[in-house]
Amino acid sequence: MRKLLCVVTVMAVFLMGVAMAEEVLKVLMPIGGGYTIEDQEAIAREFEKDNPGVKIEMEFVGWAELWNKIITSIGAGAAPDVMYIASRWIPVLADMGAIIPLDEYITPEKRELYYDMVWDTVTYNGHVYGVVRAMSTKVFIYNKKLFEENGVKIPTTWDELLEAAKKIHNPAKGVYGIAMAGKRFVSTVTQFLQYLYANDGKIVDEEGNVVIDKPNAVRALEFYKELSNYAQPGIIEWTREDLIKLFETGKVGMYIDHVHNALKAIEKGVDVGFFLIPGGPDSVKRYSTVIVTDCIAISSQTKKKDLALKFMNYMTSFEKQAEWDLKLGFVPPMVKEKDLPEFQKWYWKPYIEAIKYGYPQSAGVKDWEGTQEVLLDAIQSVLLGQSDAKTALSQAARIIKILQK
Amino acid sequence: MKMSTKRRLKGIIYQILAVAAMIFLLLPIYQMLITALRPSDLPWISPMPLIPEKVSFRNFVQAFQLVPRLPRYLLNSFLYGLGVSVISLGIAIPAGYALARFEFRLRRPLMVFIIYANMFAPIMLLIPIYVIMKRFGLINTYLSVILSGSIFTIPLSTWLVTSYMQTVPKDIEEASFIDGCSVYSAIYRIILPMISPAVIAVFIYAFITGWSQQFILALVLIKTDQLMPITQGLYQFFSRSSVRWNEMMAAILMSTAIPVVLFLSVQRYIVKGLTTGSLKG
Amino acid sequence: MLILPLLLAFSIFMLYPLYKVVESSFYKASFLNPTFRVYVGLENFRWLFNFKVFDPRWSYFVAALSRSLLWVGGSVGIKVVLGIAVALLLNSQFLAGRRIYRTLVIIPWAIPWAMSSMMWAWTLNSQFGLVNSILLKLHIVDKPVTFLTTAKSAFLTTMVVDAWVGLPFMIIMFLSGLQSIPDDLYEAATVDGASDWTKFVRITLPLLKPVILTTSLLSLVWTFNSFDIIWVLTRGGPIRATETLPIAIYNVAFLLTRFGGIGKASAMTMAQVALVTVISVFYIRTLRRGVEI
Repeated sequence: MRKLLCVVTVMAVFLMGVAMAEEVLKVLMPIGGGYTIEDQEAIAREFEKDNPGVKIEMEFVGWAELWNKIITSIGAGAAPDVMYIASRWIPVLADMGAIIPLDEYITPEKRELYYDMVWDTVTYNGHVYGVVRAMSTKVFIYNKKLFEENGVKIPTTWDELLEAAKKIHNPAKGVYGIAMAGKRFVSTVTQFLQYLYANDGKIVDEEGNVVIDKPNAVRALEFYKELSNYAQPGIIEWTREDLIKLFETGKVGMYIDHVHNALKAIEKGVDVGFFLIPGGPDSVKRYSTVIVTDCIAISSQTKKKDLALKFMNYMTSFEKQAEWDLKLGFVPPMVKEKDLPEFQKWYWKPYIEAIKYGYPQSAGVKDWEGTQEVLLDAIQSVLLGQSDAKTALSQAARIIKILQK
Repeated sequence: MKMSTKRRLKGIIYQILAVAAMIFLLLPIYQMLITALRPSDLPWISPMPLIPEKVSFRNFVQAFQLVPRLPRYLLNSFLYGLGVSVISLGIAIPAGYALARFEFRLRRPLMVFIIYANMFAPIMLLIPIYVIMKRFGLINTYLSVILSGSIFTIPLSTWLVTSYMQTVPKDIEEASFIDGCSVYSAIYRIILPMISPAVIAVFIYAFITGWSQQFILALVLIKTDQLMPITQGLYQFFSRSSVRWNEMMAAILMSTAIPVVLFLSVQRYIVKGLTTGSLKG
Repeated sequence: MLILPLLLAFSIFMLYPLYKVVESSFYKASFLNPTFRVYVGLENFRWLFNFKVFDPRWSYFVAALSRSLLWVGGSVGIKVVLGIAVALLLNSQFLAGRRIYRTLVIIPWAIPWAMSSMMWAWTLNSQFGLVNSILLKLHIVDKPVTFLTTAKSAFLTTMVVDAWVGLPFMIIMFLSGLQSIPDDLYEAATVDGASDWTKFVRITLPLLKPVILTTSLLSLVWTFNSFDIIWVLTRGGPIRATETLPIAIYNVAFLLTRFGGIGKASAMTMAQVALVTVISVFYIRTLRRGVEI
């Protein structure tokens, strides 16, 4: 009995010693279609091989639960060292002191690797809070057959866009000019933002003023409502993510979405084409798109800052990032990536071309989740005909002003 | 003569009503079924045909390819369900015995008090539960999820056992005490068989709650995907751009099969066990 | 006895989180900054009634509360009425194949709520849902019905889906209640020439009353916390039409970080608990009175 006790004690001390010699880094990553556990663990294992004595503990959470997980982890005092976050959350997290600024750790070489616009998405109050890991731009995906059958050319202005939708729209036959989203979800706001930015509208301008109630913003929302007359019925029950199912039926003229979904439609036999989102009537811009990025941030609760930075830089080196983008089919945030052969394919070109016309999704917005709720109220009330765009956006502006304080 | 036509009429009407009720209860499951059976490379059709044009079981296979750890998640959900039922029974039976046998004046208010946990919105309990579990070093263990799930099932479980226990006459176990039995063996050997319907009912109810409610609690208590229940595992069918609905429906169907089979095997007892005795409150 | 310490330990385990929620309702705090907490006394409770940023007429909390009362009342009402009706059906000797039906009834209960909601979302979908396929095929409508796109229809639809989720449990409870009513009571009534309706009102209902009250009370408490169904189907929309208390609490704690925070969300939770307690006490009183027949 005593011998057993001895052995157990020695083993315990030994194991403790081993455990203490290891540095553990906690990393939070999302999972879900594309982001697989296997891929991300492979990166962790590779890092561990190159850095003996280090153990990476990866925590996974489903995409839809990422915000909840981040909030509760921070709230419980158990925030992971390295976190994958959506860039639109940076202002809220930074203001609450939950993530640390990274300016001093970003070398000029690293800066140059990415498009300037990309850095804009992760900068808040003059500081950089994350390194971009995934980026997306969007363009219009259209059904070539429906366009031909109805004698529609590719629209280059908003009037032409409306005309195109009108011509194709034939609800009696179950054919819809455009597919749109209206459900209470972040992607609906982004769909609206496409038109807002195309018309030089903004939620918050560069000086920090709330400008969502200005005439060009009102025009954008009015246009969204007008277009909805030529969209599928009940757009309030649709999220952008599910519109692909509708487009695949071959009975929708066009809609705005990611490249992967376009590929899905091609697989299902739809003859697909692309065109960039045309600039609005109040703008001189030719084209426009919303740039959405996700980034890697480091939590302020971390006790292993150097190791965290090391891992972050490891994940976002040119090779690793390119590997990642190619595997998952994301728009490459690094300038040189576009020269890679895969990204030369015809369906990538519009999305990469759109980058230079892009504007960050949440530029200037200090409290995205709250602002999102307010914008959804406005969008939905206009779509339902409960209010006109001007009143709805004035109401929204009033509340967003409070949120921006 | 009049009686038998009346009977037949009733029979027909009742059948129609029953079928209508079944349609209401099973329509979404049927929707799931036809979505799962449709080959995923076929576009969906609007309106959706009631009988799929092509049937294929590929989605069921594909589900495992998209989410390789699916069997593990199913196992986890099963373990959580099982764990919650075991703990619930473990607490409810002694508590029910005490409440049924000993005359508390506070018994009725105690009943109200017991359901308090169910009145609080679960998300508010996430962090305190996390704190407790952390203190006991139970983060990222099966036990933490099981214990937290039990918080919500103990109330009703105790209620059910107490009610049923009250219908068992006291003299039965008194007789065994005289014979020298300890309280535990009395409960185990004599009372338990007599309240078996309640035990089965609690088992099923707690299992279902453990099986389906794990989602919100799992958010803070689980770190690695080894412990993920099926509800979280299914999120791997979601992507940033869209959702693999066909395969996900197949996965949900497969996961639903487990509790359904469990149910079917104990079905007779559930109905008996759930209310005998609750007539007395 | 050994049982007592076990029960005691578990009670503490159950009570600690509840106590924490009560405690945090007196502080101003946010999830994002866990080490920072300010004691604010009853301010959070005052906030419940004077936070009128979204709608100048009534406060955010009061609006959510009234929606909850209506929604829960409706859902529980449907569950009780349909529950009794189906239980009667499944208990009737005139129904052939009772066994099979009883088995089928349980299936919806076996599916986690979040998944049931996703299933219903597609079933009700205006393009791909079977409900519309059936309605169109039977020519009951000539255009697909959009169930979740107006305030009223979304409210009713989510209510019905929630009722669907809880119905199997109700049916089973009522069924067992019915089965413990002795047959001779009905036989005696038939001999006396009573009609089916009289039998129902004079025999079934009174004897079932305790079961009805117990079950509906439980359902009430559970339905008040119903979150997943509304979240998946409408997320509280369109424009807050289905924003019941659980959804509002989530919003205040997780999404409206500048306006809200843990303290306020806890205050909302406490208010909900207080309300449900009052309703429960009322129920139990009626139960006590009802049993003394």
